[in-house]
Amino acid sequence: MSDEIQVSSKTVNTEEDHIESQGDGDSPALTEEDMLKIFVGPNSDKFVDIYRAEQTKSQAKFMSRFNFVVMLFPTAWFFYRKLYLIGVGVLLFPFILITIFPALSEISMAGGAGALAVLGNSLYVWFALKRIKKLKDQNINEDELKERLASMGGTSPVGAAFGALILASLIALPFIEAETASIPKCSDVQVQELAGNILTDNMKRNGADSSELSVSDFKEIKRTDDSKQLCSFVAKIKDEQKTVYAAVTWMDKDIGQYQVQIFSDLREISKQ
Amino acid sequence: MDDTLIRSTAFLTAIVPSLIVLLYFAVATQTRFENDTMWNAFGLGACAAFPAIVFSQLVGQYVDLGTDIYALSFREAVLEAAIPEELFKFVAILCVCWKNLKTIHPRHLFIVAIACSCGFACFENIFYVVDNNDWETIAIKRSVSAVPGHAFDGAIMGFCVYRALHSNRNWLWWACALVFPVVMHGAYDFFLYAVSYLDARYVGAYTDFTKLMVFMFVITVAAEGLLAHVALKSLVSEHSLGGETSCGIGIWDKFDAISKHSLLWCLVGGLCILGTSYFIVNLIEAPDSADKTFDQGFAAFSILHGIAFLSLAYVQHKRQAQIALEA
Repeated sequence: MSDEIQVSSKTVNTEEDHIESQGDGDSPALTEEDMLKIFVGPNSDKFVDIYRAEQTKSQAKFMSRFNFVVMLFPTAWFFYRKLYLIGVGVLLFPFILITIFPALSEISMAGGAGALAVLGNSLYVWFALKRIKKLKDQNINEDELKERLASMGGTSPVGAAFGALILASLIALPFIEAETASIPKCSDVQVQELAGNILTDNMKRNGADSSELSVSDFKEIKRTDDSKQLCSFVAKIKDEQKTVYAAVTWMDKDIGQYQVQIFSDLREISKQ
Repeated sequence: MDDTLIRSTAFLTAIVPSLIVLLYFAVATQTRFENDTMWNAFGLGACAAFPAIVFSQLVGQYVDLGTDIYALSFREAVLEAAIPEELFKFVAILCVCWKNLKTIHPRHLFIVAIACSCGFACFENIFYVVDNNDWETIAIKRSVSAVPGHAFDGAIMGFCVYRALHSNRNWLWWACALVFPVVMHGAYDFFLYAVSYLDARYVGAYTDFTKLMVFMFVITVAAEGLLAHVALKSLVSEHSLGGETSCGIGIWDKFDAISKHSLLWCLVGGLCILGTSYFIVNLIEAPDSADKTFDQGFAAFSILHGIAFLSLAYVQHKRQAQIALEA
């Protein structure tokens, strides 16, 4: 019995010796799993479970692998976990693909959200192990290693907030665009430009000199149910000026195409 | 633009200028190519475009400053563009550096701010260029004006943040970190919008006011570039970086070596100076107009960019010669 106790105490001493020798710059006694826990920070259980499953070539528990937060708020979660580039990629990649290949459906992009929910945690473990290996290769002492693991990993509430802000903007954008997609106002520079060009063309057709034409004082007269905007403006050549009227109407609202018609008299507009 | 090849080419043309500008400042500050923080900042800067767009749309819908040309230009340039864009770029910088604001190396802080701005400019450029029928002209003009303009504003912001963290009057420098970029960005857009409105009002006639606005636009961009390079020079001379070790990953080392080679910057500088001919061709026999003066300005920007890149090539050549001597 006493021999067994002695053997046990020898084992303990050996471990202490091993830890003490770390201070001299030897390779850390921390296991990879310990380093992973330090790196992950809070709620590390699921990620450790995935790590252990990978080491034993088995399947981790479904609830460890599945992450519904990633599915619903991917960018915010990746930013929270400091995987900034992956979060950016998840956000911007669909936009870029649809920009280059407009025929791609946005629904097909949504399928990626489901994949992320299953792969998100595993992706994080892979990323964490990569970072841990990079730090281990630098052969630093244990204290500094722990410090750098905690600094490099962990969570970022500021990142999560920024990610949430971006997601909120994305959700709000279609609603705001629907709200702001109204017929151009009289103050719109393109409306003013069109009005000026129409007058210039008319004058040239009539053989008049339009070089000193200027248009100003665009005012809104009436705006009817977002399909028609009536404006008045002053057309001036040298010392002569006249109030002219313009009607802005949609030609094809879906593609944002509109037209500007010029009238010298308000009564002419009402005939349209 | 339905052709996928054209769209892909336009996409590449849209993203390359911001990457070149970012690399220019990265090399100037001796930041390694694979610096994670820099690329994180680039990505976050791109994402900052979304809340900026929402803010801009809301201002456009609910803020009315009347129909005066200058009031309209102010609203669109400052309230709808400069303030939201610079504000969210600032937020993106803080997001990247929050935990190590006090300890981050000044040069790295500087490059983080520039990377955020370049990321924003890159994403913005995609939407201006790819869906435009005249994408080649837009891409070339924005590559010498808007894209570096964003980077210059980022440089000024980064410098002010650095001063805020390491000086006594930090509240003043924090304010400057937002105010200076907003003012420069606002001025840039203000003169552009004012020219559009003046052009519309005077139906294409090239008035003295229009000339003044175009001239002020050119001066603003040149001033932004000058301030950014003054900030760069100040940081580089005050803080040596030394000791940034290789990550040991082969392909990144290769990219880093290529990006720091003086020959690369000689080529880029030479291309910029040759590219001046693109704008000069448009000037020949062109009547006096806002577009002609803009093209003169773009030609000047192109030459200035060329000089900057060639100067960097010279600096890199000297650095590499010194390293070889010390070895």
